[in-house]
Amino acid sequence: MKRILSLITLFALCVALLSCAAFAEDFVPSIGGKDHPSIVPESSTVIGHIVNSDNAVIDEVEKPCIVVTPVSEANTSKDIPEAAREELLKVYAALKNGEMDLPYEEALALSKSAPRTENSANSAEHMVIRDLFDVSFLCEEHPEMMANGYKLRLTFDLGISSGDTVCCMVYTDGKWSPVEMFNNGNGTVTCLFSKVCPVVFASKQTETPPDTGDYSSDSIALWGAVMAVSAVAFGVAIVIYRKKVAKAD
Amino acid sequence: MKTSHRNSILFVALILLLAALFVFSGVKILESVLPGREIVATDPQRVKTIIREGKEYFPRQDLTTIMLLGTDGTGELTASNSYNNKASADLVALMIFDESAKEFRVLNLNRDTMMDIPVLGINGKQAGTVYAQLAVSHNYGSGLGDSCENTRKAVSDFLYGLPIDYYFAMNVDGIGILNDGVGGVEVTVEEDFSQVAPELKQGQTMVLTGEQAYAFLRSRMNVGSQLNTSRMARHKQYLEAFVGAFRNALTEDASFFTTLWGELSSRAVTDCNPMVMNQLSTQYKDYTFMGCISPEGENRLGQEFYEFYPDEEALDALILELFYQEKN
Repeated sequence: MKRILSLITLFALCVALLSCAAFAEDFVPSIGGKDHPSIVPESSTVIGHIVNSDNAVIDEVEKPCIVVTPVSEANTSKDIPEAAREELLKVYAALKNGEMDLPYEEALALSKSAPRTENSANSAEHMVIRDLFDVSFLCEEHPEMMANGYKLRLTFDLGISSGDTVCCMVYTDGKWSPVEMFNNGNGTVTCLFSKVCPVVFASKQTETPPDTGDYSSDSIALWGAVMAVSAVAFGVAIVIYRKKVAKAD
Repeated sequence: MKTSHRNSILFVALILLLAALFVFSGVKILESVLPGREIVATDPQRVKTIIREGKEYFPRQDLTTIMLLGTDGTGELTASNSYNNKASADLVALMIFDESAKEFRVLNLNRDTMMDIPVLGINGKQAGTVYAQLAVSHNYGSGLGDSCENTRKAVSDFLYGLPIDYYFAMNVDGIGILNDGVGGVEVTVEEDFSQVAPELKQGQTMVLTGEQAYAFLRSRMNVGSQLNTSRMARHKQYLEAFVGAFRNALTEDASFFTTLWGELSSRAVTDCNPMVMNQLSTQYKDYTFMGCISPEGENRLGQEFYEFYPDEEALDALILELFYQEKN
């Protein structure tokens, strides 16, 4: 009897544990924000391709051979090469302070499926940087291939629509260079990189959030100052006016 | 003489201008600090009439809306070291105060609601949109006021351009502070929490401690259907009970919220100053609570994550019911 009970208990425990495992396996985690656009892999092991000028595949780039580092992980990532880390942080600081000029017009010219306005001289207006991250190789053979004129082809998920104006640029040799990009119309874009380094995606600036309810101590201070100055000026004006009237009398 | 007369007129005009400037500055200051401001439509596109079945509806002007955000970060709130941050909006709700009927209700939006989310770029400027779950709207920006503003815009656009008067965002650490601040909140545990928080016994009615409230509100894995919709049902139950507990605490101590804010402030961000918060809580404390509502819709599993698609007709009817009135 004892053995039967033990077996039943053991069986029940196994069922409970399996249920837990199955239950937990059914669990779908909550979505969270992404620090950088995710790369859409070519397969379960291949993240991108090395291609020639005809876009023919020369080599596959496996997932461990590429590291993408967002700004938020620039200081903590152990995978990003040190030189790339410094470059990413330097570029981020400069972009935040508006200290860099970017070739939006040239980048838009290389961006296929981007809607072009009739007046193409204005198409680069109001472009803002939406994403900044570093792409670095971890395998030696790929940089050598790219030095021979081949390009790295990667597809990123930006969540954009086919009509969105988006372009891509990379920072190499001390300047920003445009990247050939194709908007796939399904939220993703495919880019052809001659070099890997800090990468930006830029798009048209749309409206900024309305200031419907901001409590800003700065604005209160400003209006307070205006109030004080106008009160003083009002008082002085009244005094002068009264003196003038008295003099006229 | 003529010149003298003209100079006098100019002088008087200058005095009147200075007086007008003085009064205008005072009005601007009062607008910034007092609650219950008029909802002024600065953009005609954003606040407009709606026509349905031949009837014209216009936005109600006697509502005050406060957006409540519960984010999934912990610790003291500080700006992230990047132009994005890791705190998603797990709870997004609107408290809608009806100043005519002296009542309020809470509109609870599913964090997985699919909508166009503004994308904030490196300099905080909006760089297009992304079609994604509402929760990620808070991930853009530094994690402070700019991220809350981004969520406010996403929600406002989703609700036909509804102006949202204030926001109040809090991370998960605030759950315990609020819960214990009101002396605990009584709920009936309807789901099986045995694998997550065994002290929450299914079927039992109990007053939650801060830690228990955290488990009750946040847990999804190994609880119930593991879906956000069942977690939202717990949010609804908790919110409805919390309102009563909050009122009781406010009745016992009029400055209760100011004291609570002192503990909460490092875990929260808001565009209300403490004076406004106190005035709001005093002004609305006797309003009748009409309960929580959520838009109807369908939860679908996307490629990786759940996606909530509201029923468009039902959402339209709900927006009209809550925020519009028929033109007579």
